[in-house]
Amino acid sequence: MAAIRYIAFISENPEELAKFYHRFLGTRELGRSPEGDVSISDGFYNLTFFKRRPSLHEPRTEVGLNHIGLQVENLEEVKARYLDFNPRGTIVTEPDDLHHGEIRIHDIEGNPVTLSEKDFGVGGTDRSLPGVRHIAYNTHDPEGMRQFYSEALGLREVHGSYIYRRNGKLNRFVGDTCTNLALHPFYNSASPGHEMKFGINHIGFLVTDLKATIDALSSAVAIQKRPDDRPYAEFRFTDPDGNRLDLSQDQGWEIDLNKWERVA
Amino acid sequence: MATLRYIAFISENPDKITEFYNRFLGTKELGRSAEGDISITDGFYNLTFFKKRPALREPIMEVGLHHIGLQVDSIEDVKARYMKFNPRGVIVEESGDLHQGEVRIYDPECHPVSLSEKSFGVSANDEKRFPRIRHIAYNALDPERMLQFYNQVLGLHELPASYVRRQQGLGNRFGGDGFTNLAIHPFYTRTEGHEVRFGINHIGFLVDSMQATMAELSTVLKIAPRPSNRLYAEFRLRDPEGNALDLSQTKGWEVDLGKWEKAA
Repeated sequence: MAAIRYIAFISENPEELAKFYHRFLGTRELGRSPEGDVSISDGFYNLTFFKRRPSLHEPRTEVGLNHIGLQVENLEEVKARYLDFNPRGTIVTEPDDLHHGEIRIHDIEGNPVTLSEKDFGVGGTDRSLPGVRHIAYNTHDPEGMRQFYSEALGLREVHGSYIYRRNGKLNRFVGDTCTNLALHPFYNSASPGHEMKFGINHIGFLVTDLKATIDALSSAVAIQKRPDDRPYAEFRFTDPDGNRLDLSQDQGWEIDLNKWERVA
Repeated sequence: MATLRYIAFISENPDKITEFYNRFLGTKELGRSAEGDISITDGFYNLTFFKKRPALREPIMEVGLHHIGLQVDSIEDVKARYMKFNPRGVIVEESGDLHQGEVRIYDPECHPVSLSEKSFGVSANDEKRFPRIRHIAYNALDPERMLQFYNQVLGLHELPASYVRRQQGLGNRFGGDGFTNLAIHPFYTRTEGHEVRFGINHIGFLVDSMQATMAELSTVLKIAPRPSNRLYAEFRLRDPEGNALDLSQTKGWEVDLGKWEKAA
């Protein structure tokens, strides 16, 4: 199965953002480009902060969480499944450097999905904490997005998703055994606390000592408790660019069918 | 057939941008909202400049050309065709006031498309031929699918120029509603002069006195001739917020099968 291992952000100030993640979430720098892009890692993910500029040539260029990438066993096989799924799907070559994958495809809503047979320059699979375990999209068609991730990339629908189905809700959840990928309806006024950012709405870090992390973060940012009805994550805050980040220790995330990753 | 009659922009400064269009392109104000949104008209189109603010709750919040709207005979008929085209398509109510349509649907690349059975607040008494919008151009991942949407859901006709591109193996597609030429270009292309902006890339005004329009515009900005191999428009300029505008007098635009709008 493919594994999500890359998250691209667009930032006005990648350096400041990198410092924030290093200080509060224990990341380390992987490298930077002459254009000011900075890539950092939690040990498993490559988080790349692209310096905002026209030459990025991204479909969407707002500051914020932009797109994700997956390590795959065989690019050619994924390309074939992608074109089965969407015969006119767009496949674009990427630079294959520390800040990019080898190619990109696009999900059903036009969000780029970067692919590589390599590990995005991370140099290992260190799953120690804090680490990213959750990515959540707001989408017009969560079911169509789930089909894309399942059929083109092999991610499995997890138990939590079936509960939402049974309740007549549109939310879908899939996992790759390392990360929970949530697909929420963009228009969802019935859900208290729903934040309307299209595309990637937030990501979630699992931490070993929630209290210490919150104590440290409280000196720099406001932290909010998540609504009680949510299956995942205890707290939410925003980084200096306004990207939403969830924190969890006890609730954790379902990263594969009936397989949860949590600390307690 | 539905008729394109509305273009929404997101703007940091609707007042300033309105002043520009009124001064150089002969538009006039239709009205403004308490939140600072301003709608103007060229005599046929409602151009609405939404003041950028989180409360807009748009999927994409970048400043610039944002989405289009069409006047339709029957919203219910269009909704039925839309649900046939995309059975999980999203339909959202709009306010139906001067600045919005009555409902919105989404094209296959998640751009909103506003619909109204009314004329978006533009009175028949406002009608004039020049300067007037005759062209809207998108950059799309899948121009063919976008054309299918505009054809099957909204009834726009595919134009001869589009068939020529098909024969040449090019991805560009063109539709028309009898009044406006809708171009749908591939987002990823190495074509000379191609500007990489996803969604609406530019709009085009037909003017009856290019020399006078150019002389006036040249006092405040730079104007570039279009590459000579282009089918439509003689010049391109940018409004104060960077939105690309084409100007044409003699080349004009093909707005329906065998029907061109030119000023000379």
